[in-house]
Amino acid sequence: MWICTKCETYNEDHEQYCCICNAKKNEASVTVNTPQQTPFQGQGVKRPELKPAERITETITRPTSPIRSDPPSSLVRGSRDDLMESFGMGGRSNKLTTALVAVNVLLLAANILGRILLL
Amino acid sequence: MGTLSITIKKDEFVPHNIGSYTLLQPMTSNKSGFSKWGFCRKNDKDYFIKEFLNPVYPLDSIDLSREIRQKKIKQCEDWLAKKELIYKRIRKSQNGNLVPPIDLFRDGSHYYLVTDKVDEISVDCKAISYFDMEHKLILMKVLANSFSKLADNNVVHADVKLDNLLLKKTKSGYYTIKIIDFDASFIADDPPSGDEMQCDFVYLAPETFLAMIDEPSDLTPKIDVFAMGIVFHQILSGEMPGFDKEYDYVYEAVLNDAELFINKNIPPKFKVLLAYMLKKQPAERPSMRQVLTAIKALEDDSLYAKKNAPKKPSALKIADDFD
Repeated sequence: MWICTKCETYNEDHEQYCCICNAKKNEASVTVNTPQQTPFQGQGVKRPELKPAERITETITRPTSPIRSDPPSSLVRGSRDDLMESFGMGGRSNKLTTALVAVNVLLLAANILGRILLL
Repeated sequence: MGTLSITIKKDEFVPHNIGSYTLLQPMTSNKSGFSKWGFCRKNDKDYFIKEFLNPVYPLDSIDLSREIRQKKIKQCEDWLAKKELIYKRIRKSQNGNLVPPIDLFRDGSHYYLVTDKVDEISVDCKAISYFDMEHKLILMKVLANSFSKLADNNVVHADVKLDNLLLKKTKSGYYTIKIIDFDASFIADDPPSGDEMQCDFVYLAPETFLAMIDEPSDLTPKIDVFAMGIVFHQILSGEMPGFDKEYDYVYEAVLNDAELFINKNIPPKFKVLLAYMLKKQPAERPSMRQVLTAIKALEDDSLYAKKNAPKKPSALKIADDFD
C-alpha cells in the first residue's frame, strides 16, 4: 500500500500511478504497511510507520499555484489571530498595551488639569 | 473628565483531562447542533474531540428509580453499539481521505469521540471555484472515491456539505479534501427514523425530506449523491444550483419537479453529470462509483476550461441539456 503525496489517496502496491490524480508512484508516494484498524475504548492508537516523503521531480507537471485569481479572502486558520496580535488589533491578549495606553491617558489628563489650575 | 477603569480579564479555562486526553481549550458548539467540540492532546499529538450532548449516562449520584436508570443505561449501550458498528464500517472504508473516529469512550455522564486533527486550509467555495480545472477534478475525484468506498460498505454519511469537507494542502503542494463528521451516518439497512435525522436542509435529498415527514421513502447512499451534486456545483462554479425564488432549498424545487439552473460556466458534460446526480428519484441517480468513472472519462474535455476564466455567472435551464 502506498499513499499519494499529491492527493493522499491510498493505492495498491501494484499500481504504478495514483488511481485518483495519476501521480507516478516512484515520484509522489509514501510507502506504508497495510493501515491497521484502530481499536476503541482508549486502548491506544496504532499508526502505520511512514518513510519520509520522496522529493517530487520535475517530470510531474504542476502549477506554481493552483489559485490563479485573487487569493481567497479567508486566511489559514490560526494565522489571522497572529496577524491581528502583531498589529495590536485584538486577538488573544493586549494587557501590556492596554496598561501603557491607560498610563498615557492619565498623564495627559494630569497635564491638562495642571495647566487649567495654573490659569 | 470621566473615570477610566482597567480590567484585566483572567483566563478562566484550565486544561484538564477527559479520559486519557488533555483538553486544550474550551469546547464549543459552533457549527455543531448536537455536540460540542474542541482540540485535545495525548502523547504529544493533537486530536479533535467531540462531546455528544446525547445520550447522557445516568451516574449513581443522580437520583433515579431503578427502572428508569436501567432503561437509560440500555439506551446508552444500544447507542454505543450502533456507533461502534458504523465507525467500524467507516474505518473499513478508509481510502486516505476519510477522517474516521479513532476513539469512542465515556467520561462521567457524557460520551466522547476522538479523531485525527486535520490541518485544514480555510477556503470558501468561491475561492475553490478559482482553482484550475486540474485541481477541481482532483478534489471531485477524491470525494467520489471516498464516498464510493463508504457506499461499498453500505454506509451513508447523510450530512454531506462543505463544512464537513476540509481542504488540506498536501506535501506536494496540491490540495486534497478530507471528509469529517460522521455523526449523522447510518448503515443503509438500518436507517434512522424521520425525527432522528440530522442534516442540513441546504443539501437535503428529496427522499430524506419525505422520510422526515413520515412519507414512504428509501434512505440509501444515493442521498449522499444528491448532496454531492450540490457540492460539485459549488466546486465548479462557486455557487449553489439556482431555482425559482418561490422555493427555499434545492430539494423543494426538485420535489415539485421545478427546473434547476446550472451555472453557465460549468462544462456542458459536467452539467449533464450534475443533472443526473440531482434527479428526484434515487434510482435514476448514478452511484458514487459511476460518478467517479464519469469524472475520469470527462477529464480530457475539462481542459477547455483553462482557456475560459470564470465570468459573471448566469443561469442556464437544465432542461435545455436534455433536448
